[in-house]
Amino acid sequence: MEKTLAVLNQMEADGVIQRYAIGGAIAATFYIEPAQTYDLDVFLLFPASKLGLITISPIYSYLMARGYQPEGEAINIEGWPVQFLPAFNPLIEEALANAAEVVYRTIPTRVFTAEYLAAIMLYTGRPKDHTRLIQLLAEGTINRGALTVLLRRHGLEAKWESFKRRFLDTWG
Amino acid sequence: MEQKNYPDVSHIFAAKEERRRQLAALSWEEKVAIIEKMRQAMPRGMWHDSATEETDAQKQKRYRTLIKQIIEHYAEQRAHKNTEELICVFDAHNDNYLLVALATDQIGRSHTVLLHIRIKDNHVLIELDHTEQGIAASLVASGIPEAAIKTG
Repeated sequence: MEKTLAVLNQMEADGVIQRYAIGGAIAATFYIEPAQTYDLDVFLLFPASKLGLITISPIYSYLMARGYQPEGEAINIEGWPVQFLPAFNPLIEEALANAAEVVYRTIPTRVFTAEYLAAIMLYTGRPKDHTRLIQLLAEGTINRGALTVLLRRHGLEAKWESFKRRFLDTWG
Repeated sequence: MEQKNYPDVSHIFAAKEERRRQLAALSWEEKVAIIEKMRQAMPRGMWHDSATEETDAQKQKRYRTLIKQIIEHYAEQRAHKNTEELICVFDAHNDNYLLVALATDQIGRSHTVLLHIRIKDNHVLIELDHTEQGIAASLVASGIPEAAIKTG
């Protein structure tokens, strides 16, 4: 993954993408035990066309010119299928702006913080998101105060209450 | 009712929990290395989980929603820059989705179909595309697989 991240950093330096951050299972792995996943979810602000449409074309053109090939909904960069995902709501946009600066071996990169990951998992609400959210909470890596503020700001309190009732009877 | 004696398995669960904690405590690099090994051991597509696999009907429903959102978003953006009237025509029954522009200028009144997308046989067909950037990229960015998109 080191080489993959180096390519992403180069894309950012070349201005092909704006600020990016890792989300999804690989970001979750930063905080909890590893889980099976096949691709690397990279969130970013997509360059908008003159008409305001989001377009992935410049990203794919840049990468394909360097020999990387699309693979389903992703593009394989140095052995990792990378899925570029636009910041599709204010929560993701904020997660991107506040992503944690980390280093993978020698390569600097960014991952969503545990609180934003938790809020996104709650927002998406698939069974695997709930499982990961429970693990995140169990690891104690989440700042509960910060999460509460985040959930309130993005209107996720009702989902949180429902999640607590279903899975966290003992949550304080 | 006869009282049965069951074995105490709490030590098994405790050991599992401890193992989970140990895994979580590994460095990010070590954890990603584990994921890379898992990917090699069980490559994508090696098995299919019928419970989680998207059915054709679910796929169609998802495509329908995405197409509508993309057309509406495009119309909204275009409306800011043009004086024409934009009409989204959605026929979910037959899966035809159009964007029509109505305008009046010195020459007269014009009626233009800017976009016509339809869903057929689990594919998204772009029958007509007069958008500047091409709608296909937005469809792909929204999560519709490139292989499922066909141009007319």
